[in-house]
Amino acid sequence: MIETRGLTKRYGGLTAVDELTFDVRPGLVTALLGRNGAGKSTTLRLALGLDRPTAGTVRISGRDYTDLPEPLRTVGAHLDSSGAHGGRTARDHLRWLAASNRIPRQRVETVLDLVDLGSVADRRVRGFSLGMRQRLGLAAALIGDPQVLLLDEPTNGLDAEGIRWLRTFLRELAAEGRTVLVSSHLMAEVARTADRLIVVARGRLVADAPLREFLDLHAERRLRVRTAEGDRLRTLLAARGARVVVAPDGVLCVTGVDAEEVGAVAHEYSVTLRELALDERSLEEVFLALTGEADTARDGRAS
Amino acid sequence: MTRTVAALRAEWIKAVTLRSTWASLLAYAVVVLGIGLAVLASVGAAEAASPDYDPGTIAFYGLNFGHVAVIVLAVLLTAGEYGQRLIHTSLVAVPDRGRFLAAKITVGACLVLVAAGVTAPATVLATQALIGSPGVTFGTPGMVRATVAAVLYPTLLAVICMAVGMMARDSAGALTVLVPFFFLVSPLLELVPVLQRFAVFLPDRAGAIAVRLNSRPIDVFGPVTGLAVLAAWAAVAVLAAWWVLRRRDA
Repeated sequence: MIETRGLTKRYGGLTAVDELTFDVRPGLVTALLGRNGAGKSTTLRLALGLDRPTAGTVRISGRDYTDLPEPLRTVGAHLDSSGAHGGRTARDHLRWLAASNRIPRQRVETVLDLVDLGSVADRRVRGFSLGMRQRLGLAAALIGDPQVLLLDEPTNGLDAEGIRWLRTFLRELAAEGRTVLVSSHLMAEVARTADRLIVVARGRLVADAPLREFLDLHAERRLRVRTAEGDRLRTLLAARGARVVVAPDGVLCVTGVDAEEVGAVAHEYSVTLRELALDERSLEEVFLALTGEADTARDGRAS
Repeated sequence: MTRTVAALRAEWIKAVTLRSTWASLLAYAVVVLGIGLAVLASVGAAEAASPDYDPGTIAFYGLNFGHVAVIVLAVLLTAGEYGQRLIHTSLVAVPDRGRFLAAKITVGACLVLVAAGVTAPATVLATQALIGSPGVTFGTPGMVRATVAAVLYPTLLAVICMAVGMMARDSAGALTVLVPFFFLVSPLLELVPVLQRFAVFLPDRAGAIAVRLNSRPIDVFGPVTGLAVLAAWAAVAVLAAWWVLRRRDA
């Protein structure tokens, strides 16, 4: 459980985080969503006691981070795509981390295997790709088998397979009852992973809701439907009150009905669907509209 | 206490798993011993017999050069944390910044203490064997004290440089200030007549006095006070680093 109350951080005249109040609950993957410079990383740094808030509090498991006795056993964090010394091997990086919080040495091997870095564990981090560094950062976050995970843009630098792997992994961690907070600037990415959304713009809270609720409230549910029998399906759907627009590539853009209904219609009339998806661009548009144009005027030490 | 021990263990693993640590320590030993031998070989036995010859200063002539390695080590252990933002990982693991700083400086100081602790007596033995009969032994009055000083002097210098490195947050920046200062500026200031009475209070000059067997006219204090002056600098530097680290956003 992470509890943020009136959290505010100013750097000189710039307000990076502005009276943020929200809870991050256990058992869910919660996304902290915002554009670059919206205050996501600053919020995470404040939660970890790296930066000092100008006002307000952020507590993890009921305490200030700096008051946790062996913090890595409670909280795992991955902040920067690096955070490890280039001259040290992955195994040695995890070894000192384990030692710092009296975590058994064996745990190093466990997390190396968990993130699939076992084969390169004795290579220096300097030679790692961004994706490997992200995996190492995740291993470091997991070293203390923590109940709370804070991950800043963990999908950066991961390939498609890596992203899919991470998504499943985060879901599993949440299913075990852990608190998982993941920052992201990609609405589409978040829509696939998160249960709950916390949206920030210019350091302020814009939305705090379950993903489903958020989408129902904000998103125009535009579906992409691909089929060889486009004209037939279009007629069938239109008869049920859907608005259907045919894109130049033949894809049907459907609004006014949900995916379940489209599936049912296709099944009933034996129309073979090649694709049925929620259009990601519509989510991205919602996000951009919500976080507002004012955001673009921001410069940002607080990405 | 257990948390302090854990922090010390972590800093120890961090220090010894970097190649640069071993390279710096080895460079220190080779330079101090090698330059000591080279200088004594060129000074020769005849000059060693002259009255203003200071066996301590000459035997430990390499210290000044070896200190470059000490400065590099100190800066890499501290400012080096900021290069890849390792400092974030470090402070997330050990959020008590006082404990983190204390552990880091203790480990760095211990490494230099051991390296200098081996190098100093080895340098005395090797250099004095080289010049034969006019050489000094550990039985010569003051020579044990000078040798102990040649161990503590680089150790305390490392403490000062680690504190500065922590405050500077930038390896290149810290090195471009510290290396020229301790290698050139400070020794040169001592040669300027109007400044020399003040220059001897600079950390490295005060340390150098502790290595001498015979005091010079400009030395306003003796060897033990010299070490105390150096230790005072180290204490001030560590307190300043602690104050800065505690207050600053990481």
